[in-house]
Amino acid sequence: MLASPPATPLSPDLIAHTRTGDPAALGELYAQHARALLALACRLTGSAADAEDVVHDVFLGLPEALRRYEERGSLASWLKRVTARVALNRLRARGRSREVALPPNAAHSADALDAVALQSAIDALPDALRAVFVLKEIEGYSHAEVAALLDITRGASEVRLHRAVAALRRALGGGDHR
Amino acid sequence: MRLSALRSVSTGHPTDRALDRYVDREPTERARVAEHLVRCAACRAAVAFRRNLRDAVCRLPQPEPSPDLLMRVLTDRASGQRLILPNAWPEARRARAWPLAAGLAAAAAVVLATWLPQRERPHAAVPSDWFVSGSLFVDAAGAQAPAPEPPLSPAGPADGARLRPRTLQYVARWTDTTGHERFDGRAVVALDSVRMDGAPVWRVAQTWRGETGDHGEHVEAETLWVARADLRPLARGVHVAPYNRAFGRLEVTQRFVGDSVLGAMHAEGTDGHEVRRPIARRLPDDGAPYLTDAFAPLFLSAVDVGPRWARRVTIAGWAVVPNDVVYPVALRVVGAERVTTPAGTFDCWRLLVTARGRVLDYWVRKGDGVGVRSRDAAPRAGRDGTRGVREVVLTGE
Repeated sequence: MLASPPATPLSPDLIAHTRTGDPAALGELYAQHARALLALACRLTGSAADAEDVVHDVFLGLPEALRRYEERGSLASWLKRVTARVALNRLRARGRSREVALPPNAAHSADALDAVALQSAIDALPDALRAVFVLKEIEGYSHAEVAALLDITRGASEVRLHRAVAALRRALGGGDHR
Repeated sequence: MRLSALRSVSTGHPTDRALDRYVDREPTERARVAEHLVRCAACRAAVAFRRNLRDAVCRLPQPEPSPDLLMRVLTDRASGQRLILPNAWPEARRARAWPLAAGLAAAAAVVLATWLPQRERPHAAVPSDWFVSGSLFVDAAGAQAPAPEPPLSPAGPADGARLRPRTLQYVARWTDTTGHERFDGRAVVALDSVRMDGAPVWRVAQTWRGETGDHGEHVEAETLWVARADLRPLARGVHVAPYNRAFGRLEVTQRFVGDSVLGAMHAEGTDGHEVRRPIARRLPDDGAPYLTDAFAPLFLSAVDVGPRWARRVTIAGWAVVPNDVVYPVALRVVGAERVTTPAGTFDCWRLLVTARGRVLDYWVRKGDGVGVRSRDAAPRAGRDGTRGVREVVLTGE
């Protein structure tokens, strides 16, 4: 079981050592952040295998990329944005047809959503809608930030979020609003 | 008025965006939406769904990384693999939409698969550079060269204080085995002192010009920045035009950071399409000192060369593909000779240069280490199918 991200700020030495390519330092950062980054990548790509490849790529390039990290924000946030962009690039290049079965349209109340059905419904969203939903609703980015990450307008981000929520509501048996 | 607003007017409900903003606790229209929710069960249900959905997705179980994922990362790094990661935020909004970007990426992958592995340097034009592409030391791309045998000590230490700003001119000629001679390009190599990121550095600018097969001009230019004191490469830019029949222009930019070379390649196709490729390769620690082609005729100005001197250097390639990263080069002094070129007559050290299985004779001035002549030690196959010897001589400075 990997450790959770630390509550205290990272040691500057750990970042400095990782920048040099020190495997031990890279392993320490991996232990602190890999699980959260994998979760983000998995939600964005809708594929555990793709998500592992994304995390692999992030840590493979991390020592060199850290040289661009100015240490003004938290490393965890910076890593999440980089991971999101790697995952989104993978989504764009993938272009695969999704073959995720919709969960049965059983009566799930909005306040008791079944985790399996919810995960399946999120996975079944089109890539473009799922990316907005994950970044906005799970990762907490603003529409402006989602728009920047996805290279779309803020209005498009808002529309896609609404469509994603509507699709989830239909899939989870909540019906259409109005 | 937008369609959603019209629908809002016609139905009496807040717009979808207004409900989303209410859930996000944004102040816009908040009071009006709150007032509406009091009397509208459908909209209350929609808001409740959104809030419960947000809570539910945050409680979804998180996947665990495979036990061997970290080991995969460390093993790949140890083998020299590197990757350029995107910046945390996009640098600038691009005009193209997502599907087009995906199409371009796919197109790039197809094009690169057809031409980069061949590393089709513009051999119908000039032999271009000094070490790597068929001039002073070694021939163009191909498989990674084996280390020179027997192992030599690295050349150096290099003393950048021995250099001084200068401009050198060279001409290359190809002589086939029948004695027929033809022009094979001319080069200018300029060294000057500049500042980079506030620090003094040496800048070497080399430009080879020649003719393409259809009598157009071919240009291959390289600018290299090296540390003032120890001549470590810091950054390089390469411009080749035309690159081959398919690509009218190719540019490579590199920065040498720690044990890595990072950068990008950009090529413009003659049909208007573009290809971009990141560069991220590890430079083995035991390869130092690293040179690039532009610095080759000047590097020995910065080291002590004498009788029976034998050392190695490594030429850094463009590093776009894995077999074009490093080229070990062995240098051995085999004698002292007086050499006459169009630039004058000079007392020189004669060296044998071995790289990628090819051997050249190379003469450097005793006084300042500047390369004044290089020549294939034995006939070899030329770009036009003939066998012959290529020679580069100093013509002016």
